[in-house]
Amino acid sequence: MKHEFLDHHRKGNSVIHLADPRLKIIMMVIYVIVVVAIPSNANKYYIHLILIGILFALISGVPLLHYLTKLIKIYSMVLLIFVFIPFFPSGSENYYQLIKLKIYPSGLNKFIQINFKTILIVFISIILTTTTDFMHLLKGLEKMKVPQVTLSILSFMYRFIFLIIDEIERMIIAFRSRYIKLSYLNRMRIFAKQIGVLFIRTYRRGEQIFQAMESRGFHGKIYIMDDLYWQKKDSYLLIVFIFLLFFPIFLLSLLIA
Amino acid sequence: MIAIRACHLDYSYPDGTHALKNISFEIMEREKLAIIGPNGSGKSTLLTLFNSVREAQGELYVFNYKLDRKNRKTIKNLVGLVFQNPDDQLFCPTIFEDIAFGPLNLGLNPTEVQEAVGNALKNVGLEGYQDRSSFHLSYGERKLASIATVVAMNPRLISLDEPTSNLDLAHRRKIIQWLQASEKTIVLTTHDLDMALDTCQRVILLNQGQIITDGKAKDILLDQQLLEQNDLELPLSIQNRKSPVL
Repeated sequence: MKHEFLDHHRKGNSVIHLADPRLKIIMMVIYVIVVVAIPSNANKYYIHLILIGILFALISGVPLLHYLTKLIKIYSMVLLIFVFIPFFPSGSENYYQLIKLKIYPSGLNKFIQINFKTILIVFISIILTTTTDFMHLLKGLEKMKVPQVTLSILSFMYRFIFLIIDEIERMIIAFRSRYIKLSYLNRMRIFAKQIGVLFIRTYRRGEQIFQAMESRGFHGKIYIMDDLYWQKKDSYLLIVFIFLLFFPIFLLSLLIA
Repeated sequence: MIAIRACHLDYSYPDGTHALKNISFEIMEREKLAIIGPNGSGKSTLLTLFNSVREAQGELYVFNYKLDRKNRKTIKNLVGLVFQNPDDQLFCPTIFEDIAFGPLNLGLNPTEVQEAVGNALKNVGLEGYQDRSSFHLSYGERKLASIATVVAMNPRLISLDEPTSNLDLAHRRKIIQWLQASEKTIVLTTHDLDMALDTCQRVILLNQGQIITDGKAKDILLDQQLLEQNDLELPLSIQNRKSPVL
């Protein structure tokens, strides 16, 4: 498993890196709740949330390009879930014609809203996962009383990412070693067939790794040597974060009063 | 003391392959045993039974504990298993975390874990490697590190699946020296008959899931006819001695 590039920013000396994983999880949950809860017409507040995200990304010291690359990759997958929303009306309404497709204003509006919310949630999740050692993240979740089954699933899922990449690399090398110039369509056909093989191979390797873990006493519980200690600075950071997040709302309520 | 007592072990894979057929033997504590045989003879399958990675029909006793659901955890602590592919054994970001995985599961405290990891690395000659990632190591170093993952748990029996496969001469020599120096009970499977001759007192020859013979390493490994009947050859060191000097 030689894919350090997947999480090589997990070690760092920034405030975000050194914060307790539980704090980061709490901040992320609060942020997500706020993003989901804000009304569709609060456009300025969206900008405020984007700025908070960018501020945290900058403080972490990880290049913004790294976050952006990850964001594009994840977003392109999530996009598939709501890409069809503009094509569905909420009632009888006018529509725009784009070639043979009917785009409804209400659907388009929803699509933009969901897009913004998704990007913000994915962005903050990327900051959390990039700046936290995965095992510490698990430890944080464990301390927050997340069931062991969930932790085991997360742990195996993480290991499987590396396994799948390993196997893909091996298959690509095997393919290239016998590569004859083929049309794009034929290459795609071969790749499509290989996906099934990939999952069987990954499953087998996963089983072998599980056996190696089991043979060394693993019985479903993840043990991590470094224990987590909530420090004063974590509390301060949480207060600053909440203040930053709710400051515009507080300011608005003062103005109204 | 008897380390392993196997009585009428029988194992079939889910696809119906009958890997082990009515196998019985005993291994004494501190004995060094090599299981040899052609590919597909059931060597690795047999090895994985000792650590209860697989469960076979028949009875298996490990240091007098009967291998059943109740004793499974105890037996896992007594038997360390080193897999053939070190990439299966090393799955953590750093060598330290990989070696600490077993001791942490044993419930050792952080100081004891630190000590166990340090000793294991020293034992296999990889001092100073704890902060390195396994993917930055050579195959031979990864193999040694995978042995360290088991040594750190201080098991009474160490079973190794093909410990010298794909190794360069220097790392092969290191593993042979480690095997010779080890005071643990060692069971290994191998095609490297020279290594078996150098390190083990006893050999079990398996073929098609059955024990063909079980005896002193020198008797079996020097029996050309027996080896050839079972798709094996004399160890190279013996062949060279027999061949005329050019």
